[in-house]
Amino acid sequence: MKLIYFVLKRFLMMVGVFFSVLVLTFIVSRVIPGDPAFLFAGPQRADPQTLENIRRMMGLDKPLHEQFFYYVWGLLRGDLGFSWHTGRPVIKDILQRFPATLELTLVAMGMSIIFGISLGVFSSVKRGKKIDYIVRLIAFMGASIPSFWLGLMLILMFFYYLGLLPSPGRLSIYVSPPKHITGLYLLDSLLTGNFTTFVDALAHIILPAFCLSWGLTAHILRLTRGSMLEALQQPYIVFAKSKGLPEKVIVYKHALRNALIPIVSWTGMAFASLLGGAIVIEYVFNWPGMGLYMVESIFSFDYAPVLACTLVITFSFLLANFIVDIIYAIIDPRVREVL
Amino acid sequence: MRRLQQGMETFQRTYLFIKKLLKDPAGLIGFLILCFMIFIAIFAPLIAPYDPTAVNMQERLQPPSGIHWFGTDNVGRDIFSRVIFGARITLTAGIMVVVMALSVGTLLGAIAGYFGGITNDIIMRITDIFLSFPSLVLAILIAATLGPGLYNAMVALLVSWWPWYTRLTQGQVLSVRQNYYVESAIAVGCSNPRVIFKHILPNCLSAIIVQATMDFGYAVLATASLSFIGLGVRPPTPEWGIMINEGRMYVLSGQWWMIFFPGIFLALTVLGFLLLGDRLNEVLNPRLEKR
Repeated sequence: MKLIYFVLKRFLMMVGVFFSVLVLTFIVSRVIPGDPAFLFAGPQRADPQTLENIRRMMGLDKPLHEQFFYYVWGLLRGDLGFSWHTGRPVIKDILQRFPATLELTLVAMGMSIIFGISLGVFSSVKRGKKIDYIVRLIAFMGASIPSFWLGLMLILMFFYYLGLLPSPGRLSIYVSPPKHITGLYLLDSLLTGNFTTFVDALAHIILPAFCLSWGLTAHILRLTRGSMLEALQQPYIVFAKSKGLPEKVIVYKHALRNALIPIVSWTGMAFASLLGGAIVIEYVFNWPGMGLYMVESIFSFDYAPVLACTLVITFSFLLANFIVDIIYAIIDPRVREVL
Repeated sequence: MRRLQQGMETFQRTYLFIKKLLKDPAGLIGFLILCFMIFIAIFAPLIAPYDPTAVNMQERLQPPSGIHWFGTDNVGRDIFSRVIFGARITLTAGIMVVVMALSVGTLLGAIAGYFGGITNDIIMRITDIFLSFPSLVLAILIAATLGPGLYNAMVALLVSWWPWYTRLTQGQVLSVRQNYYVESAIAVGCSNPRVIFKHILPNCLSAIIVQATMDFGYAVLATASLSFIGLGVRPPTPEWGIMINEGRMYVLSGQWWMIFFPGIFLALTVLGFLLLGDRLNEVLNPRLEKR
C-alpha cells in the first residue's frame, strides 16, 4: 500500500474514533443520574428560573439525538461551554493553559525516552550481573512509587531542605513570561534570546517533568530490556560477533536499531499515561496547565471545563497515536499492509 | 477414598506451585509485603493505638515520637493509626475494582472471541471506544460526573478498566478456540456456556491472572490518585491518597511526616503486587523464564 493511502485510511479511522468518543462523553454527560443543567450552572446559581433558562439554552428540552447534534455543532464552532469559576468561556481558558501542559508532557516524554532506553540497553548488556538487578529494582520502584508522592517529597528535599530549586509554579514571580510565540516558555525564551527566563523556566520544569516521566521511564526501561535481550539472541548478532565487530557497534548499531521498532510503536500509547499523570502532577506543582484547571474545576463543582478538558486530552492522545503510526509506517513499510 | 486422593493431589500441586513461586527472592518479597498489608488491614483495630478519626487540636503537627510513632496531622490525629486503618480501604477498593472489571471484561471478551462475527464486532468496537481515552482521564471524568465518594471512584475505575480485560481475553480465546479439544467439545454437543466456562476460559487463565495481579497494584494506585485530587473518599476517612493530599501544603513548611508514611505504605503495597505479578508471569509462562 502506498504511504498516502495508509495516511488517509488511518486519518479516517481517527475521525471515526473521535466521533465515538464524542458519543460516549455525550452519554456520560446526559444519561448519568444528575441534572446536566444543574452541573453546568454550578452550585451558586441554581435557582429554578436560571435552571430553566440553562435547560433551554443547552437544548435539554429537545429529544436526545437533536441535543447531540447541537452538542457536536457547538464543538465544531469551538464552543466548549462556560466556566463559572473563572467566569470565561472554556475554550479561552484551555487555549491559555494548553501550552503549559504540552511543554510539561514533551519534556517528560524526552526524559523518559532518554533515561528509559539508555538504562534498558545498559541493563540488557550487563544481564544477570549486579548492576542489572539494580536497574530492574529502579524499574519496579518507578512503577510503584506514586508520582504525586514523589513530587511532594522532592519539593520537600530540593525546596525546603536544600533550597536548590524554586517553589512550585511555572516561573518565579519576579520573572516576566517571554513573548508569546508558541506558548512553550522554554522555546519562546530561547527564540527571543532571553536567557534569564530560560534558566528560570528550566529550574521550574525539571522537578514536575521528572516526576511525570518517572513511571514511564520504568516502563520504557522494561520494554527496551526485553526487546534488546531478544534482539541480542538473533542470528545476525552471532554473525556480527563472529565477524569480530566491536561490542559497541553490535549493541548500538545492530541490536538497538531493531529493538527500537516495537518501542516506537508503543510511545503513542505511552502518551496517554503522561496526559493522565499530568493532571495529578500539575496539581502537586501548581503548574498552570489543563490538569490543574481540571482539578480546580472539580473542586468548585464546575462541570463544563472537566468535560472539555477530557475531550481535548483525548483528542491530543488520538492525534499523537496517529502521528506515531505514520512514523512507524515510514520506518517499517510492512505495517501498512496490516491496517 | 478416590476423592481424598484427588484432594491430596490438588493440595500437593498447589504447594509445589507456591513453593516455586516463592523460590525467587522477588516473588518472596512481594508475597511477604502483601501478607503484611493484609494482616494490618484485618487486625487494624487491635494494632492502632488511637482512634484514626479522633481530633486533638492540642497535639497537632507533632513530629514522630514514642507517643505518636508516625507523628500527628494538622488536626492532631494519630498518623500511625490512620495509616493502619487506611490499609483496609485501599486494599478493599483496589481488589474490588479489579475483580469487577475482570468479571465484566473477561465475560464480554470470551463471548466476543467465541461467537465471532457480528457479536465480536459490536463488543470489540465498543471496547475500542473506551480504550481510546487515556484511562485515568476517563475515570476522572466519570468520577467528577458522579460526584466525590469512594463508591463512585470505584465505579469510575471499573468503567475505564473493563475494556483492557475484554481485549486480553478476546485475543486469548481466539487462539485457544483453534484447539481440537474445543472442536471436539462442540462436536459432542456441549452447550455454549459449558464450552466457554469449562473448556476455553480455564486455558486462558494464566494470562488473565498475571494481568490481574499487576492490576491490583495499579488499581490501588489509581484509587489513591483519585482520592488525592478530591474524587475518592471523603474526609475524615483514613485513606492514603487523601492523607497525602491533606499533608500537601505542610510540605512547604517542612512537616514531612504527614505525607511520608502514607506514601511509603502505598508504594510498598503496589510494589508487592507488581513483584508477585512479575514472578507469576515467569512461573505461568515458562517460555519467558529463560530471559
